Amino acid sequence: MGRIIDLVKAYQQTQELPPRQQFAEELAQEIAPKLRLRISMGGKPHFAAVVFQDTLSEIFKNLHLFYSETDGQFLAWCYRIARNKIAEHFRKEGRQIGDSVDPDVLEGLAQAAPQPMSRGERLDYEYAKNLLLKTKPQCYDYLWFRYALECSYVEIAEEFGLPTDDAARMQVNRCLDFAKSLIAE
Amino acid sequence: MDEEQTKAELRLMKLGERLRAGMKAQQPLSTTELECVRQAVREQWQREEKVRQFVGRAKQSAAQQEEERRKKAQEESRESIEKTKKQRPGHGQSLSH
Repeated sequence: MGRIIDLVKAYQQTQELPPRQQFAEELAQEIAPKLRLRISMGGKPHFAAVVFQDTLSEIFKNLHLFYSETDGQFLAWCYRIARNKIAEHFRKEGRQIGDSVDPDVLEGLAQAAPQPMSRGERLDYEYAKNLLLKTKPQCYDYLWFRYALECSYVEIAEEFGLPTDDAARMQVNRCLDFAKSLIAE
Repeated sequence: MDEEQTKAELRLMKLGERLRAGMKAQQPLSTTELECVRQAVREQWQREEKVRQFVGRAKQSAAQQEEERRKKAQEESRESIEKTKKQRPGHGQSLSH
């Protein structure tokens, strides 16, 4: 079992309020970066904070109902809640869900990481960033889910309504090929 | 998967790691967000507490009812024995009439 699912179980098995809140806070710290990356796919940074807070609240109101054995399944559940919240939010605002993450936002995040990039790492980063950005809009989301959010093929299949995890794997591979062909041009 | 694809995949994985690390450093949970988590947990805990209290009271009430039923059954049984004893020949009244 992973750190996240351990915290979920500890939370669910605790009856007293103060330790339960403690586990909840630790869990929130663990999932926050990925959840924010998921929500930032909505593409509207100024709404992201509101949606993120709504999503967190919804997760912890329903955590007692969640049952699974892996970190990945828990995160997939959180992403589903986030997806609904994003849709709900944009429905309320009466507009379409926006484009994916802005390149400047990507750059800001990459720069904010505590470890500075070596020259080699910078080259790798630039290559990967171009790969990702050039695949907009067809493949960007698949690659984002697979590599930024670390989703399994099962979760990707579920997210995109694909029939099997193999279909998701093939789609991601096709996207990698597509991205490489664009870079090579 | 060919070597080029593996390289591309590795670079994307590194990019993902970097973005998550950046997100963690750039946007740690704010006080408001933590308070929102605490509030959601508190509300859920209060709901569960209400259920626990309700179940506790229901169990207590069921136990009381069971105890009353048992006492009543004992009482009826005792009365029935008494009645039988009274009706039995040679007990209390003589049959010589």
